[in-house]
Amino acid sequence: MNKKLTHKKVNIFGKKVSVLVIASIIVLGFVAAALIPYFGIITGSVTASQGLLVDNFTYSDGPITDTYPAITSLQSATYVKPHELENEADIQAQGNLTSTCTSTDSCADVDYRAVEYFDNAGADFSGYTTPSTCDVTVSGSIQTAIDSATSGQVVCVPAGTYAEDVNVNKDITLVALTSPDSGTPVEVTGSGSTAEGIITINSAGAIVKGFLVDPTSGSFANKKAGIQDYYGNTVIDSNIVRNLAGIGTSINAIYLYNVAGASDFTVTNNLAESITNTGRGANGIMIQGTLDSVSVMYNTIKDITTDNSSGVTWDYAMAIQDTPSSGHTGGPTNLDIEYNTFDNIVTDGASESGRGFGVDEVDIFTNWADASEVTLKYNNFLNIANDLTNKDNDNHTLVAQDNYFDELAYNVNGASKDEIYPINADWMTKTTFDIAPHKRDQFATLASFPKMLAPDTFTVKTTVTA
Amino acid sequence: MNAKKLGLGIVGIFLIGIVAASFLPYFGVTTGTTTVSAPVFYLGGNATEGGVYHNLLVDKISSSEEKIYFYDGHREVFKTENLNVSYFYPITLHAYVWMKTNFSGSEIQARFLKLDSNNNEQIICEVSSPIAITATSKFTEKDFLCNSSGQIDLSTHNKIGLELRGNGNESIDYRISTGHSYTDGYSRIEVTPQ
Repeated sequence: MNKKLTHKKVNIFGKKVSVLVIASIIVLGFVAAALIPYFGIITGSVTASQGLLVDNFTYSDGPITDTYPAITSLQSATYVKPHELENEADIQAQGNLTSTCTSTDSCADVDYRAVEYFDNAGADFSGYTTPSTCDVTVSGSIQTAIDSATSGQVVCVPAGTYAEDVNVNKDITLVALTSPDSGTPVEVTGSGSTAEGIITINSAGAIVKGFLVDPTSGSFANKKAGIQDYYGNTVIDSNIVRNLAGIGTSINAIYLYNVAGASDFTVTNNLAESITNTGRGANGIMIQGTLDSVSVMYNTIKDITTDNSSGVTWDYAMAIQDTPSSGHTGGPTNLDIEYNTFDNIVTDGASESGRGFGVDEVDIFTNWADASEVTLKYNNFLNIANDLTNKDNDNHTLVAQDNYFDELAYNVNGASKDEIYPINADWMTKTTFDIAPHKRDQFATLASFPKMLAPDTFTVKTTVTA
Repeated sequence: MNAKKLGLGIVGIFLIGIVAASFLPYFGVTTGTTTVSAPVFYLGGNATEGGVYHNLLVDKISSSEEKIYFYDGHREVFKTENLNVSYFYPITLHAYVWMKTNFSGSEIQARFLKLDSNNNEQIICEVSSPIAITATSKFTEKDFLCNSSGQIDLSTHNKIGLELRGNGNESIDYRISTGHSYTDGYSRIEVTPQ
């Protein structure tokens, strides 16, 4: 420090006081302020100036208190409590999340931290784009337009309701000219004439984008899927599949299937919702057979329900399966499943519970998928009784690190159906945040208490600082 | 006068420090609190396997009242289901049992057990003195305790049990009340860490 400066004196009410003394008193002030409880008297202006809110609370509103249910030493419990940071300022907000645990004795066995919720996971149609040029524009029947198109062409479909099944049997781009969540979507309702999908891709190189597949006013009779893809080197992008109701066979919002070998399947930014079955399985996205290099990203799968009172139904948000026959092949390979949201997957009735992601079997003795082929991360699992299922009879571990599981933690492997193979899952720890102006960022506080904690009171505190 | 002003000045600077500290960017605090308590084992009715075995329910009161009786020279064992833990921290086991007998001066021996899936037993601890019971028409509460010697090692299929054994001849009978709330609660075992 500049010696002249520290020895310099200033006049305070007629007395000369050195700069060093003044600086020391200010430091003492800092120390004293640190001793004031966080919810004290000094912080209202901080939030106002920086514009960062936690759950809509300013700092001066005091701590946000979560009360967790009490447990006994013979119980374990994991509590995940969502919170939201909101940046009201015109500048970027950056900061830290620091968690501490206090108890009379020790928190050594308690897992406490802030964890990441993936705000950008799931489908988002707000940025839906249409092609600048259309080679063919549908007028009347989509299928007629496809039949008239040639390889590589862009076939554009204006808004409207199309009561037909669509067979994309050429390497074309079939694209809706309005967003599927708009008030004027391109809605394909099905005709009931095929036993495959309402939209079925029967050619490598095809792209299907922007459709609302909803058979409510049309027909889903005897079909397997809303959108089905047999070929690979394909893209299923920005579609909504909803209101599928099965009665006798398993149904899927999106079904990727091949038993002869195919690669490069991309399923991105799709929404599957309201899929039900009273006769067999109901799934959001099913990937079955000898498919390689499958990317499933930024999709939302929600509201999948079945009633298993009859004992023959089940549901998955998403699952992989081996081929249906021909012995064990190991099923799909090189799967990349990221930034999806799986929400509200429910099975009512005996012996089943709704499932999130599953490595499934056709037959546990002959046909099961390979868990080691799956990269599963940055996904949100919400309102699901069995978040993860592994039926890989080769005993490969299903790795599901860095995902978000809502309250009651990740529940894995139900009590039935050969769900006995290893799963290694965890939340993604969050220690920093970086929020754009006027944006929000969700996170959660995690507190996990194992069995055999001695009686005590545990308080987990997460502090938000810049 | 000048000293007073100087004091005010120092206080002012001190407050500047506090206000400056307020600009340290603490944005919020969330807290979550839970309480972990020791389990309570409630004496229940007959176990499925029958014989000398009866239920010892974990944090759950038996849905019906049952009176269990036995004679001197015999024993009854109240045991939990599998605890599914690998150990229990060092504990004091404190039993409160509502019982009666037909003969004053009767005595019961009590000990706490670890049982495996085949009901093989190991002693956790033994109550040092016999429990004296006076003949009464009503159930009275007897409480007794003992300490485990350190941590109790368990496997996932282990259970904890309470054995009560009559000390005298077979003309004496004992009755134990389970699933009924008396003035001081149910027949139970409370656990406290040592």
